[in-house]
Amino acid sequence: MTTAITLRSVGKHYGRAGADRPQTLKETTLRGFKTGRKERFWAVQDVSLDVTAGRTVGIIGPNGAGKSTLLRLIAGVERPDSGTVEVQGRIGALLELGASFHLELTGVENIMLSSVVAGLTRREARARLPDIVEFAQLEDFIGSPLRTYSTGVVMAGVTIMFVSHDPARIRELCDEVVWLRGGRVAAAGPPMEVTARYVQSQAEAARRLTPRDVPDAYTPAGVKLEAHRNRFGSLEAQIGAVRILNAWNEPCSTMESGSPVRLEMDVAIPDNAAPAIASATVRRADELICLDTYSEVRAQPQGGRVTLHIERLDLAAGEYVFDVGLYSGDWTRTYDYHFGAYPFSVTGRAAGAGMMAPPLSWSVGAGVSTR
Amino acid sequence: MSGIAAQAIRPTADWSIGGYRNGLGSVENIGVTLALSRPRHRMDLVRELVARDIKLRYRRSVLGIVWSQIAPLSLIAVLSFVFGHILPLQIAHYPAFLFVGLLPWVWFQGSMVAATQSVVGGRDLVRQPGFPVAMLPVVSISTTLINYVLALPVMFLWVGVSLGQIPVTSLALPLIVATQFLLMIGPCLMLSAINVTFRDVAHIVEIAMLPLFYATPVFYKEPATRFHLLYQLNPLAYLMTAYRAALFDGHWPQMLPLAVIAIVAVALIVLGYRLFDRLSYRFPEEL
Repeated sequence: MTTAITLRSVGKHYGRAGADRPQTLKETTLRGFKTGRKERFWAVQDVSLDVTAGRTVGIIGPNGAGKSTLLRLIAGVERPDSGTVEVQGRIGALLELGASFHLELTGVENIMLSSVVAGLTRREARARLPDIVEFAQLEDFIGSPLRTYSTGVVMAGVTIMFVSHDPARIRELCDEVVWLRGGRVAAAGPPMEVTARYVQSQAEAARRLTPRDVPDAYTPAGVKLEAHRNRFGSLEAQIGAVRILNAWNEPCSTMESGSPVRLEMDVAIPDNAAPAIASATVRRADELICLDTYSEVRAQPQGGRVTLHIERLDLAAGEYVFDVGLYSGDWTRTYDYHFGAYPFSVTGRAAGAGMMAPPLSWSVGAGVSTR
Repeated sequence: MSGIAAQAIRPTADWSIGGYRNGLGSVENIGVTLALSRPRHRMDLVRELVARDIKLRYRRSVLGIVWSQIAPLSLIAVLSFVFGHILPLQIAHYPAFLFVGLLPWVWFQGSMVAATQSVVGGRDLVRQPGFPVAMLPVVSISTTLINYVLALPVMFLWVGVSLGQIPVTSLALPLIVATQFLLMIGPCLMLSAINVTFRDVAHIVEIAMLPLFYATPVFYKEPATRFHLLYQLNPLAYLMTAYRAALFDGHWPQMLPLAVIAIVAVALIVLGYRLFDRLSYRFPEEL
């Protein structure tokens, strides 16, 4: 097996620039050519990796963990301050595909320019032009999933580094996962194991954020909300009363399958916590997530109401619960999270083993051969 | 607690890079080896970027590329009026004389100003994996060279009409152009790299162009005796002499000064590239 990417104790630090750093000659001269106090901050530290050619490797970690820095180091856009980066073959950045695109240029001119910028000679670019045009017409190529690239015409036999803080996508796409925390490798290995540990650590982080001395609260249905048991988060922004409403605008805990449902959340979001994200999840008694949705919310310092409208709740009969959450706009901070506090039951036809019960019917026709 | 986890982590920005292996095969320290290993690609890159610059500048304008010629032509018109009639310099065929000297000066000035800004202005390209950033000043010099070359027919026409002939020694023009090109690369590498950290450099370069214009015999003949040192130390003065010899006086330019300039130019490129390479380390974060 050939190694496509080799990192040996790679480190990269930044001067924590900020407003302190001189930007002009005048400022530097006035300071007597001292560059100010250098507060070093290691974005990536002591990272060693071997990536086998042809593999898809995911890098997971919270914001500021050094994921993007690591990619830039591998891509050669930045150079490490310590350690070595070796890459076999040529590197291209998917995100940067459009970087040199200009609306004033024609499609072919743009493709030629981008190809040459990406490392092809004009001749190589011309030879691939029909493929690239076909690919660009077939695919809305920024939006299409990554796997189509690897099987697609443009990149064959590629090694892919994929960065995300979404464990589900990492699991779906990657052969191996590297979890970065504070610029260091926290764990590396098979996707299932590593993402599970990452997910657990994120949950622990939300738990750590949760203050100690939060008074207990009660939901409108009388369920006790207790910090560190079924309520987590920093509480910088808060979820107040949460109501499950039926078609007649009445609070309800039992509903007919297929009926409309509204979930109303009273929220208080101070200006410094905005924009925030409100989320709602429908979970079945056995932990299966049936629905998971979220929406951005502006500041509501005087308190506001966020409503989720579900036109038809086509769930099979059974016991369910709404989990609701409020997060910072970049999902890195949990403000308030109520776990399992809003139960409800769905009545109606049993749906066998499935969880869905949409309107359906069977019909039978005679005379159609199965062979 | 899977609920918390599912909620606590979300994608906000996914990005990814895919590297692909093709015939190259060898282990490359990207950014250094990759860039140096393919001169063919370097040439194509400069060509595409120059083409882009020119297309972008003149597309959707009626006169298009003609605009690039109007600035030097109007300068020639003004100077030939001032120093031909108001303060006459007593130079025969003065407009033709001006044409020959002013066009390479305009190329020089345009190159220095554009190249100094080239790295700062090429933010997207600097962040492109494996992009040879040191080519950006070269692209600027090449783009302005195109404007110079496009002005040549007008110049030859003018010289031909004024002098009654185009000197055969004009064949030496590519050699002089090549020397000037070489001479500009080193300083442009240094200026463009320093300008990333100290944006003052761009202003300093623009301001320095005016005294340099007067210190170089562009619109006058180098005086025989006074201020000799000034001209001896100014490589542009030698280039002007060479341009004028070949295109105006009909002499073959002296090879020794050109050879010395070429050697100095190569030394400056080596120095300039080393400085550029050292500073380019921090380009992505400074831009």
